[in-house]
Amino acid sequence: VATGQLRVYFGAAPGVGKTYKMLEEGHRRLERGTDVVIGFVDGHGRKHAEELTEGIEVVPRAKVAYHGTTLQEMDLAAVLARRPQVALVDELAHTNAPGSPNGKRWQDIEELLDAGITVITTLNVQHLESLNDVVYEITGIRQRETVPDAVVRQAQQIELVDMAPEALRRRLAHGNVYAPEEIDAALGNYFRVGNLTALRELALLWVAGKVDEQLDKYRADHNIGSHWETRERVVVALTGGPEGDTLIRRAARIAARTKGADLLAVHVARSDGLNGGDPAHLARQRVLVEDLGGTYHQVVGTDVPEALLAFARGVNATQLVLGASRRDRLAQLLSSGVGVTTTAEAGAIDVHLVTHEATAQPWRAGRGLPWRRRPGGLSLGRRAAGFILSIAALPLLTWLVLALESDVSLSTDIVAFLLLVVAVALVGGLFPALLAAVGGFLLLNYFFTPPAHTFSVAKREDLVALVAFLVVAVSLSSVVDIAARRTREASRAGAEAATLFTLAGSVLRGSRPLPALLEQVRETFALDAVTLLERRPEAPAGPDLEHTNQAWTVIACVGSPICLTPGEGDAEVHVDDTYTLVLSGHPLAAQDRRVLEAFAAQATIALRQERLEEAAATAGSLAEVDRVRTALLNAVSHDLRTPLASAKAAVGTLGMSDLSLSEKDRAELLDTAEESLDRLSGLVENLLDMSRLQAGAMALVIQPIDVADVISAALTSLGSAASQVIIRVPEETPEVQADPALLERAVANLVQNAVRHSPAGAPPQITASAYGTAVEIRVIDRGPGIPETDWDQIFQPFQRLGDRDNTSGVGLGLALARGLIEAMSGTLSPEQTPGGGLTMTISLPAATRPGEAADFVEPSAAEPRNEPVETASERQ
Amino acid sequence: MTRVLVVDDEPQILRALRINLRARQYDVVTAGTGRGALEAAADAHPDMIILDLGLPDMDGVDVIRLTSEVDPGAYRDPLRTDEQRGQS
Repeated sequence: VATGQLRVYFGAAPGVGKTYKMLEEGHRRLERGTDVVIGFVDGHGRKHAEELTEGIEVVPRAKVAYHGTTLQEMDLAAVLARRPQVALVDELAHTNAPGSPNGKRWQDIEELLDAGITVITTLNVQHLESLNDVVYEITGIRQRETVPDAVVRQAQQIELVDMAPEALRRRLAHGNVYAPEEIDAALGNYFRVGNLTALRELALLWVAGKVDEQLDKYRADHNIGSHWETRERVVVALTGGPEGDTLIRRAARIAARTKGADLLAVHVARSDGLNGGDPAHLARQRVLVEDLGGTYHQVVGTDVPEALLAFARGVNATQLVLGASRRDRLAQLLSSGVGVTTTAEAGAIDVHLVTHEATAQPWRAGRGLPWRRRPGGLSLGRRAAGFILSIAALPLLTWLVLALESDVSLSTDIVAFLLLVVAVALVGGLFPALLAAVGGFLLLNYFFTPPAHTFSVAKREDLVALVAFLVVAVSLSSVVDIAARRTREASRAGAEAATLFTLAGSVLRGSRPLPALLEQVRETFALDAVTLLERRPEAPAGPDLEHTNQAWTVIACVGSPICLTPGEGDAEVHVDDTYTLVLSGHPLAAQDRRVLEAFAAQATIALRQERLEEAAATAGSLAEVDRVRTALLNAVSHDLRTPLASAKAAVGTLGMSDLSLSEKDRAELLDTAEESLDRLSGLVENLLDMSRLQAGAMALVIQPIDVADVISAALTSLGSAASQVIIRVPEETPEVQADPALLERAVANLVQNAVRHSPAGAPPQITASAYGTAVEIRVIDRGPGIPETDWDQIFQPFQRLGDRDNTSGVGLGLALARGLIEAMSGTLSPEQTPGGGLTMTISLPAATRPGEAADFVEPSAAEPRNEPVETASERQ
Repeated sequence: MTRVLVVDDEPQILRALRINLRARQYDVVTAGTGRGALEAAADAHPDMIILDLGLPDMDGVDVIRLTSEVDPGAYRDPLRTDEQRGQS
């Protein structure tokens, strides 16, 4: 006999419509004249699927007795005897009841296939053996019923039945998948959008045939467990030249390739100010970076590659984007450029060298990042060169002039030496030039003024000439040096202006300017920490003020360590008598102080701004408090007055001597008074609890308690109103960690609310089930429900929905219930009841770990199901 | 006997008023909702209605208007107190 074909409808989760599709195919085949029977189909009470079973012959099910109940299974022998062409058998992964011929349904199906019967079946992704771990990681539920992948892989056709998670959830909410009483903790948590999406992806991947072992592992490792990945951070270095725009766009494209990548632009402002960056370019580029979702940073450093890499490492950059060098070939020969040096020292950071228009046009407007210049007007090297030049050139010149002795007059000699002094001054600045001037004076005197070879001068005019030489030489030296110093000051002023420019920008932009500002100071001056301190008004002035902890309050701080007093820092910038900015990391260079003072002044302005905003916010929330208080007064006065009025009416009537009341009337009036007073005392109790909760004065006695006990106590406390409530608490439900009295109150409040909104004939239900290390108690009503947008609102005290409803009582019950549950480290959250209504889910920590027991969960006779519901008790 | 319709959504108040008024020899009809009040007004034709303006299903003012339509001219000059209105 040729073996039958296996066709599998494959889905990501229960309820996507596999059974429906299978039955549809059965009908199609029937219409084509194929002999189709239903071996086993369980519609799970779903209307649409059950309708579809009509018209297809059903092979009667086998009944298996198990522990006093009767379970129904596919009658394998009967199906084999019937010999159809096609058999529809639901749930490939189903475990047969003990006592059946085969342990698993897939074994039954293999027998059918061997007998030449084509089998159409259904399967959910979570039942695949190879995906067991992954599914467990996603859903937290260990699937007991699994099918070896080989069984499924041998199928001739696998068809995916797909449904968007949101649509599936809607089906669930409409009650098309499960009845509300079937929804327990495991199921409710199973159908979260996140879970469904992950399962759907799994199913899609599996069907696409791409799930090899490596991918399984990848997903197990990456997607599900700890989904932590190094963030891609792209740093782009800006020189202040026009090519920065290109670099930023390029870096943004690199960043965009990775999801969630950060873009940071950094400009290294050189502390000698010699970078020639154009503030206009930087300003435009800053806006560009921020438009592209990045951030702009500015650091100060003398060595550009070093500062750049220090910044990049500090922000954990993974990629660094630099412009290709704009320098000509000769300059590149003389020293390696920033790009080369940075690349060599970048270590783990990838460096991108990006070419740009300016690369081809060396030495235009602005210079590139200048390279290895020492701070100060003249470098040490130049100064040394000046000394060397003066020491070497003086004897040389002397020898030269002596060699030409006969032809040259003293004035020519003097001019020659003067020329030398100027040359030395240009190279080495003041001190080498002074050396050259004095040396020249002595040499002229010794060798060239008669009497020669003595330090005396015979002629008066020679002496005047020599002295004039000395004066001119010294003056020239200092003029050259002053010019150099002016240049240095000008460039420092430029750097300051650039920093202040950045500063102004950050104060204007940030929503919380103060920390941003301090961070700016820290970053710009390479400090460890910056703290803004405020002097307490009562602190007395005195010598110890700088070191007294009590005298200072920390207003804001970035970095560490936090300085508690001005004395702890390395430097301090006074703003005024009250505020002071304390810096730690390194002492402050004198010339930086001016900028820092501007920073400090800005900081206090930012602080003032923040305080004003706080004051405004407080005023706003005070208004809110006022509004809530008014609502409270209204609600409370209404809810207090109503029972008070009825009690008073009842008692008043009783007390009227002119009325002749029957015994029955009297009894009824007394009842009325008592009921009203009970209500009143209940309300007062709720109010007191609420205020205790809000004051944090609730005394808790957390202990392991039985959920069923608490629920029945809660229902008893509600009296006849709650008599209709249906309780479904499985015996194996673990105890919870809670305060019995408080949990009872919370449950009672929820049930009261549910009863109030339940239509006649559909009383509320309470279910309890374990999920993970928590136990969930659900209070389910089939009332009108509450739109999801109002879910937060219902927990606000005294915010009754539909304000005019007198029967709804004060809007305190739900707020109190949530307060109580949260005080016991639990959560209370609303959900939609499948088919309409509101479900309130209390989640509390379980007292004991639920056992790994329940090897075979007894399903009720009607539903030997294969879905997560069944495995709910097998949790971790 | 004067027939009074008492409308209030508070069962205890309804009960106390019913007993009180009955002991004073009134014929008392009660209703807990606006809709119930309209039905009772149509069926029982009360001579007087004591109406709580804050009802769960409809506005008390509408109840007044509609009872007038049910029985034109019957209920004029409603006396109004602020007892229930003040706080809702």
